[in-house]
Amino acid sequence: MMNDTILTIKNLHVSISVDPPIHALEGIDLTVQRGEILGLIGESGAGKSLIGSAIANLLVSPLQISQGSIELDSQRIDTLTERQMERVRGTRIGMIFQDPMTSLNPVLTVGHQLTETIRTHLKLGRVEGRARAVEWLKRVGLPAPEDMLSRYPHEFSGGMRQRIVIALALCAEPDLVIADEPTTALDVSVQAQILSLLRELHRETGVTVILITHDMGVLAQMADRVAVIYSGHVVELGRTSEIVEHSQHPYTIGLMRSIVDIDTPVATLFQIEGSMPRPSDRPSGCAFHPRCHRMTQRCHNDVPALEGNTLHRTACWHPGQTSGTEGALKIEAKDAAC
Amino acid sequence: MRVMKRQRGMLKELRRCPSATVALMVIVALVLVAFIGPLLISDNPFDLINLDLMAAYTPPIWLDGGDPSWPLGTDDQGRNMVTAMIFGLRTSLLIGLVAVLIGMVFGVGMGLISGYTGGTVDAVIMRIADVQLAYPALLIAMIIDGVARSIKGGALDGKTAVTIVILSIGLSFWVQYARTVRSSVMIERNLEYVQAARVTGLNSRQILLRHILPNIFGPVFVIATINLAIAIITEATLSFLGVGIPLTQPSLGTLIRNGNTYLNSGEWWIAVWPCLLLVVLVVAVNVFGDWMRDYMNPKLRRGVR
Repeated sequence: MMNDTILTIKNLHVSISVDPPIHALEGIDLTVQRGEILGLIGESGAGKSLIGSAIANLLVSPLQISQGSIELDSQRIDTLTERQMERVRGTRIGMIFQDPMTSLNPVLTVGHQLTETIRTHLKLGRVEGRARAVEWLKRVGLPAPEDMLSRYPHEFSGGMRQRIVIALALCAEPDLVIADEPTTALDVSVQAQILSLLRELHRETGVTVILITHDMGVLAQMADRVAVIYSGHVVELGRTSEIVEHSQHPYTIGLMRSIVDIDTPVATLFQIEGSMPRPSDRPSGCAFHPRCHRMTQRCHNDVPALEGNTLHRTACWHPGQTSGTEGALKIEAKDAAC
Repeated sequence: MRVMKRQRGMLKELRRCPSATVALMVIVALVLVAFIGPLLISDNPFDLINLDLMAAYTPPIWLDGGDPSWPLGTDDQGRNMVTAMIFGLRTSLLIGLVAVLIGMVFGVGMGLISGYTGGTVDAVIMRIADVQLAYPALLIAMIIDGVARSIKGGALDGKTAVTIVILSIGLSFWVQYARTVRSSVMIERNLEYVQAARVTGLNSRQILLRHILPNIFGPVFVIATINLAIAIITEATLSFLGVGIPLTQPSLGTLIRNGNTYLNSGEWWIAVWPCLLLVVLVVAVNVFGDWMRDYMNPKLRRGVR
């Protein structure tokens, strides 16, 4: 299982085609092992969802892949025509979207949407397709699945809809599922249910999952490996336990410190000073350097490469675990500068 | 089996809305009369053999000089107004339905392509639409009608005239559908369910027809019911102006045009009866269309199952 790679992304650039082109993703390198859950984490606009869209070839103009390659089971999928891609989607790649309110077609019954997908990909007849749809609704934990088939999406609650969306993504038995913030639109108690459902289905079907989120807590529970995305780059990549306990990159350290622990009283919440640059005015060198307390001239001049061993890689000129005061020092320095 | 179940649900739902029920009953009655009536009437009032000039200008039965054979009176050629209207209604309904269908299919198709493809295709289609929109629908219909007539040349037989009128009215409608559908498609195509449908591996045609079209059909349906009324009236206007269909091929419009001549000379019934029938038909279609739009939106449907 260790060296069974399902997806290889090499030097992926996704750009907005203006002059000069703006790179929303700038040289992403990732491999995904069959059967694992890979978490992508980063703040809004970091480009984590773009990676998902690029894999499924769902980028819409003016966004496009300008460089690099994506291979699914050693086959390039970024260069496929739309028609060839239609065959890959559904059977090979499934997708779970963020908002279950909008990712189901409001005027078609749940049964219609499920059976359509099942019958298109598994080439089943009407009766078998229906039976399979009922089976999936049961698997995702909906009560009285037979009755649910003739219902419309608006008759369900958010959590139930997300269960249906998950059934829809998995029912064609894809090898890889991209879950783009599957719990963001749900309230916390439902989030936990949906996550445990995802984990359960992952265990049962052995499907490979790319889980995109901005919630480190979700990843810590779910993912085998984590990739931290910052301004279109992978800045840290490794086993979840490594990233959580021994994060090396100052950005990841900041993310970890931002997690609020219910048992520890804090006066003020930690934050990383400043905000992520837009891709159009990304600073030179390491994109994080203007916000980083370890910044040196080298960070300003050169882009760090993702380096380290298979368990843990970091793209930083000054990696290392940190003491608790560094962030605070940076804030003071900034105040003085103002 | 499933279709029957759905229809029973529809009737059940319909009973909650008396105005729509009445409207549907009126529509069904008029359609039946228009299409079955002519088969049962032996003396076609538009067959010259059956004309009795001596009976011309007979007033309705309750006025002085009325005759039980012609309950609503006769026109200037001695035609029975009742049978004349039944024949006229058939032509009007046929023209209205087919013209709307042509405009709708063409317009919705153009709108779907335009909205989903975007870019140059969209620009070309929409500029053509803009140009056509600059002219009133009636004028467009008259232009198409006039061009078709000059191509065919000479006098037209009834069937050709009706075909030309249907085409010209239908084509004068497409812009409304195209613009409405285009803007709706542009909204819908960015929603996640369309992305989700793409991820499940459906092609553009399947997504457009099976996923987007049902979502945008509400407004299309409303335009269609309004257009059905407008098409019937446009045909009446064209016929009234003398560029529609010949008097020997009766429609409600030709009857009204004909009766208009006699409005001031006291024979009001020749124009008023067809006018009333037209109003009843148009109102019934609009009321039912309005209800139908609500019914087809599953979110507005109350939990009947």
